[in-house]
Amino acid sequence: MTGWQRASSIAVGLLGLSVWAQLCAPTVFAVASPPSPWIVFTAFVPIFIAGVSLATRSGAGCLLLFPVSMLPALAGIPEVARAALFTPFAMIRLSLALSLYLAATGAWLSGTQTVFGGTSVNQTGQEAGSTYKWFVVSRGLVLLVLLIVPIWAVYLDGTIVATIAMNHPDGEHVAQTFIAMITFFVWSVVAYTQFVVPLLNLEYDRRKIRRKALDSVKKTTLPLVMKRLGIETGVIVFLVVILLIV
Amino acid sequence: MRTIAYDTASIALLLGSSLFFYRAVEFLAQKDYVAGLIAVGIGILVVRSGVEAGRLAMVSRGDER
Repeated sequence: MTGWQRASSIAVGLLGLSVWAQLCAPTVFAVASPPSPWIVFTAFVPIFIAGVSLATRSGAGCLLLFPVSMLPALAGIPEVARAALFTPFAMIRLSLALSLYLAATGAWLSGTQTVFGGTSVNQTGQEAGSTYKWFVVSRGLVLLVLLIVPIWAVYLDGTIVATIAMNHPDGEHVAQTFIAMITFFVWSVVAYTQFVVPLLNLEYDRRKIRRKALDSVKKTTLPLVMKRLGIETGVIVFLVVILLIV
Repeated sequence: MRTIAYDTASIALLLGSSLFFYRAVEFLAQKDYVAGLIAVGIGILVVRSGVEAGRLAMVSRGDER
């Protein structure tokens, strides 16, 4: 095992530990209301699964079993810790830790060391890494903005907080949590389908688009372009009109 | 130059989509779930456009190299 591989294994382990510490540790170390042995057991199960998965380099274990195994412990989390978890800062921190863990583990399992600028990559990998670095970093920052804006709106925007309080007088915090969870779900879908998948297939997509572009140049006619432009403009105008009416 | 134009358009579209997500939250806060869903749909379409513009930037960057 090279130094790079050892360092990446430790980084993945620490990120997994960070996610566990945010989700399960409050259950174990609750001072006000000591948890039952069964709850403590469920809280430590993810650590065991993570250890075995990391040792065997199991993709299903690291990316699926470990995150899912934290759900039972989350169900038994004390009320105080639950309230602390559902705050804007805690949710953003948890989202970041989970996203970083999933991205780093995916890169670690695939062995593509170009993501972190490893030392044992070949020349092609280095060229691709430098070309795509800006693309990946800029999209990562945009993704962060797309997470922060709605969460900020739900919890910190004065107008929206007042609207929620007015429309849900008996359960303001429940409504905020509900909207935040919907927002986070949408963000996760967008992050995976529109950011992670395209970023993983950059070189493949680049070649495919070039090939398609060369083909379509031969077939493209002005009526065809106008027809497509008309349809797309029509769809956008239709949606905006519906939105204005609603 | 084409790369920069595509890249700028891409990032502008991606950041612009946050406006629709913000509006979606606003609609959800007003219990207007249909409008919220439509706003989310438009936001995702705008993100999609931004991603496509980013892909075009990558293609043109490859051509310029």
